[in-house]
Amino acid sequence: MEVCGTHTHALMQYGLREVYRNKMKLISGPGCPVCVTSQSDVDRLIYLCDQGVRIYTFGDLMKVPGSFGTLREKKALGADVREIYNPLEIIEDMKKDPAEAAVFAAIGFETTAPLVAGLISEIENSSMKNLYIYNLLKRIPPAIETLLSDPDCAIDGLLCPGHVATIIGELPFKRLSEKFKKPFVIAGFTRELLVFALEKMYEMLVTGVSGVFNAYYSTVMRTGNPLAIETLEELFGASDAEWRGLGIIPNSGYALKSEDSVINALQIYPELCKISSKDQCPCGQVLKGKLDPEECKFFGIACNPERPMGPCMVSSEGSCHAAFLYRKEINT
Amino acid sequence: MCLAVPLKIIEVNGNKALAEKAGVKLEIDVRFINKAKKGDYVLVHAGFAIQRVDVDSAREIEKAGKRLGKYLGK
Repeated sequence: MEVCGTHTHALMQYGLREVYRNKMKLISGPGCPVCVTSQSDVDRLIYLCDQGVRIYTFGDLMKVPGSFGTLREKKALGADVREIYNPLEIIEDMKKDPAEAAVFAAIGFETTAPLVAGLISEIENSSMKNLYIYNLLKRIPPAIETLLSDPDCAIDGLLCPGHVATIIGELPFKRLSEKFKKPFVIAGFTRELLVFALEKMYEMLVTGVSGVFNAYYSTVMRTGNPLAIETLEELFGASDAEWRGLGIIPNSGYALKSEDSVINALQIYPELCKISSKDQCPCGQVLKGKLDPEECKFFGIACNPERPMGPCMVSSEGSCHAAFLYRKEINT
Repeated sequence: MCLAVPLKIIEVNGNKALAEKAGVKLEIDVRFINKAKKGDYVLVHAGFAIQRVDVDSAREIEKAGKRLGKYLGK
């Protein structure tokens, strides 16, 4: 199983699923922060829009349907929803065009978490008092642990996300590999690096070897990025987090250490906790690798990139979106 | 979401740096890179450098990004 949206795309694009069909079945796991954002969280952001709060977010989240539409639709109807590329843009934007209150929907895995930490430091150092963080950051290793602990999930090995590992290093994956006695291979993104990683995975599976092999050694250091890890540890502790389709996973979130932090949107808008909704599509089964995207009864017809029902089809890194995009290659 | 592109640093000013690729310049944040300096290649995710890479790796990553971008029409 790969747990990285870019890997999902690359494996399909290069036809590697087909190449390895007789050796290994490659399945996609929860590899994209957009895909694992729960419907409750989208509904909470839409609620904030309705209260006149300005929302900042990364682009893909704009299209994820909540119970009553998407952030993009809200924007079309006049809500103040702004897409950003770099979290620090928010501070500049707030200076140029101040808002009464603004919330940054901070989604991301370990790769993005240090950037949000950077933004939090900048907010704390500035005199800005009306910019809050709705923290949706998540940690990948606890999600892998949950998947591997599920007796229904027949996963023999893990292709680890290269850019998450760039931040956290090899050690968190090593611990999991030792616990579950399965091979973990950290993979890069070129065709050559992916083949290298898959060959190593196959070899480890055949010989019954567990452990972590770093097949993206040019970029991933054993200890990750120490400066980024230090910043994360300073600002965040572990907390439980809700993943779409996977439920609440213990210690898989990043809680702000100062719980009464003035930048925590949940402190400012406590009513958000009361909004809870149920997912309407089987994305959860896809994220666990139990259902292939093409096997979903909505795939391609009721649910497609133009009219997505769930986040796996919304995000360009979602496994359903990738399966739709490369479906000709899959069927030939 | 965790996409990252390699850029070459052409100027450093505290936590900020100017980086470029194929003549396109971008202001990035280098607070997570120990002693970032002019000429370094860094992997940039959402405006932040997350790792220093060597020039060969930078070219390899760039190649993968181009292929994927071409297919996605981006």
